[in-house]
Amino acid sequence: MYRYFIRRLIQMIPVFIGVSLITFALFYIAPGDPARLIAGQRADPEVLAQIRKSWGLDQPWYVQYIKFLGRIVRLDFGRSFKTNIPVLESILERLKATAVLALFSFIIAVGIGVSAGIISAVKQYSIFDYSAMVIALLGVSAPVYWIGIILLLIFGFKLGWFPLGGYISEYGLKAVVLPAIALGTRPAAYFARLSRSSMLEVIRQEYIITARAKGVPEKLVIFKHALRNALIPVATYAGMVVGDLLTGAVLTETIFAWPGLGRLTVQGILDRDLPVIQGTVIFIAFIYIIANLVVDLSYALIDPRIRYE
Amino acid sequence: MRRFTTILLLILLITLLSGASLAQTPRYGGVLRRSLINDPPTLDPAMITDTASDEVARQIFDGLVEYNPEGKVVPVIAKSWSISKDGLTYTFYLRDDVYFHNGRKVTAEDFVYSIKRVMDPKTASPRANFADPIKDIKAKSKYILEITLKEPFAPFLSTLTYSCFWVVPKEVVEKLGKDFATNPVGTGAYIFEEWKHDVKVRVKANLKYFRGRPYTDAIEWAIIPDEQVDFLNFEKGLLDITGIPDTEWDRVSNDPKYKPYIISKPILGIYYLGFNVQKKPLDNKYLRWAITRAINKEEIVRVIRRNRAEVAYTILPPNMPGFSKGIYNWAKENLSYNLEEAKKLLEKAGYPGGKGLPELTIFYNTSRAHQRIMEAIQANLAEIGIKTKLQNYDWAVYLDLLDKGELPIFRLGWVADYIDPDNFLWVLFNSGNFGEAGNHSFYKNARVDELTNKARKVSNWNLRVKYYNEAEKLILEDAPIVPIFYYVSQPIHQPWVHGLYVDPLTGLSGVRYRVVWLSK
Repeated sequence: MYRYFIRRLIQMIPVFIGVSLITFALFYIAPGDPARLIAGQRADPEVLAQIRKSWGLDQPWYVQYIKFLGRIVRLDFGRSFKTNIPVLESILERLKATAVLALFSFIIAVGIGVSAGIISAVKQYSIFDYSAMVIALLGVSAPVYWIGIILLLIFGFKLGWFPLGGYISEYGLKAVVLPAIALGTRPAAYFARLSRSSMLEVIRQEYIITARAKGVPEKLVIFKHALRNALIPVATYAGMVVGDLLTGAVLTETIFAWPGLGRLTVQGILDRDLPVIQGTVIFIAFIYIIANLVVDLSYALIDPRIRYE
Repeated sequence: MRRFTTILLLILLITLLSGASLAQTPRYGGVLRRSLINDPPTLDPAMITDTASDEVARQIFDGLVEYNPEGKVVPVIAKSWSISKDGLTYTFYLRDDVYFHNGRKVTAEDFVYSIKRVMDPKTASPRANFADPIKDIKAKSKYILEITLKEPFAPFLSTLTYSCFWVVPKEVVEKLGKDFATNPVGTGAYIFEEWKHDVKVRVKANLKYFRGRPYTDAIEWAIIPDEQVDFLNFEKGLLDITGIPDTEWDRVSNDPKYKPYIISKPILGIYYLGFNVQKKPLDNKYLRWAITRAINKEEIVRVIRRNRAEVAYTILPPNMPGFSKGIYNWAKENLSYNLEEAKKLLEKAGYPGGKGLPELTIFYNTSRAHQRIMEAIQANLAEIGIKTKLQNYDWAVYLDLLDKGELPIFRLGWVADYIDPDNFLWVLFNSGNFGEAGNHSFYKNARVDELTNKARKVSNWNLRVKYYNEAEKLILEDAPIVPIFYYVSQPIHQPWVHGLYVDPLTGLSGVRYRVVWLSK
């Protein structure tokens, strides 16, 4: 297990190099000049040349790339073209906000989604099952922007229970409730559908019938024998969800004025802010690699037959 | 009983009057709550190019001069100034009671440093071109500053109102380096206090401000990227001043609760459809005229903009000095929506009923608001037989293509950097400014070049106006652009906000909030 873990960590290096090279290449292929965006709609050609020089954009792309790799080794992502703020500082600042939102959304998604899915499976064709699946269908279909605005209108504006957007530094933990619900709704709906179908598949298997035939209490059948196996696809999906949540959710962050990574990334792309794009893309790659690794390792915990050596 | 009623009425009247006068007596205290749609990219005056940064930094910094609410250049740190007869030397006499927020007195040397910093290629200031006219700048004494120009430049005083000319303290800039952008120190009515990126920016009152302390104790800008949510915050009373989203305009502007608190003022900006006049078939003047006369801009302003703009016929907005009512009337008569005339012009262009004309593409930068306007124009052009398709790009790509002259028909907007016709007519139509320098129509008319070049150099205002009027008429006749509407700024404030004005140049982002006070 330990060797597997180390091997996976080493495998991250070529992934980072590949990701950064592709980002770099895309940046140069795509039209749009960062110096032009800094200077605004009207720009003096000499001023543009000065800006390009000050950011090293006047050098050949491979020189820029090698310099970039050199900096990355020292964990220096450079400074944003647009704001002059060190990129790592910006990422870490936003990461706190994103992590808090991700944690609460994940708790909502897993807590509500998996429980609803399992109960639906166990009580298949009951009113609960039908209601949960209709709600899940709505949850999957409803756009996050719509959910966000409705939540803000009802619970923020009309009832005044929660702030109308804003961060925990201003409003405390109350601020995270509505964005977490908005962001957690869709994954909760997916979790519900996935865990229901997975559970249904498992409880029809012979070893469950055997367990029931042996007179094992139903609770034990469900929670000890069925649930563990039913959770394997759910864990795979959970890894993806964690990745999605931790890399920022630009729509939710925009509606709720949440200072997360999604807004930083999208603004970086719109501004052609290469250091910000590189920094956030590498960070996103890192998050996904770690999330996948955690999921792989969790398989061994869920299913003792799986071993990594 | 009658006597009692009279006394009661008198008491009531006195109470009401005293209440009214109380409401009109400025009060100190409170926190002014504003919002910004995005985090300001920088608070370093040398680097500012956007409105969010400008609005915040304007409270922290001062320059030699500024615009008053009527758009006149008035003294700030410069008490007075004189201009040499040849128009080359500007001498500024500075106040001796101005202090930076770190406690150090401001002298002429600080302006020498601040302006030279903008000019220094190492700073890579995106507004270095504003200092292009300057040949030399020196401190004649502690409080006398002398700026010498390379050649006479009539709008120079006006350009000095721009943010890149605000004064910064050398010792702080050199100590902080690039971090000065996030820890600004100026001389302004408010002192920078706190900045949580993407959450809020806060400044506090400078109690020792040389023009008297500001009314409010602090200003706090919440960063609210969604305009609907922003307006919900306003309606809930959590913001004091904000903009009104288009989707809310009909409801809000007709609601007696809100109506008295909407300020509506034209600013110096224009929204237009441009042509690359060097690209076929748009090099055909009659075709450009036909398009001009086919566009129903009155309808666009009424239906799409919900009358939140003024129909434009000229290039210079009506509140720009040098604006000519005569040209406006001429353009309204000859260049406005008229389908019959448009059809005749199209025939004159060699495309009767649109026959033989290839399908044209109208380009715009991605935005739902622009799309709706372009769709209306597309429908207008179809009425005279011109087939078009629409194509959008994100702003970065759009600018790139515009600069290269690859967009034959495009939409653009222009808001003046300084109050002078030069900033429209020279910037957008002088052939020395092709592409990124402002002339995206790649328009060239020798007489217009001559007039706009001459008008920058003469100091006689009446003569300048004569040059600009002639140039504007020529440009309108050549139709390198179709003016669609002049921008109007329409902020709304809470009943307890007093003293708010709208900057004639940029609207809300140009306001100095030191004069705003709260009665709550």
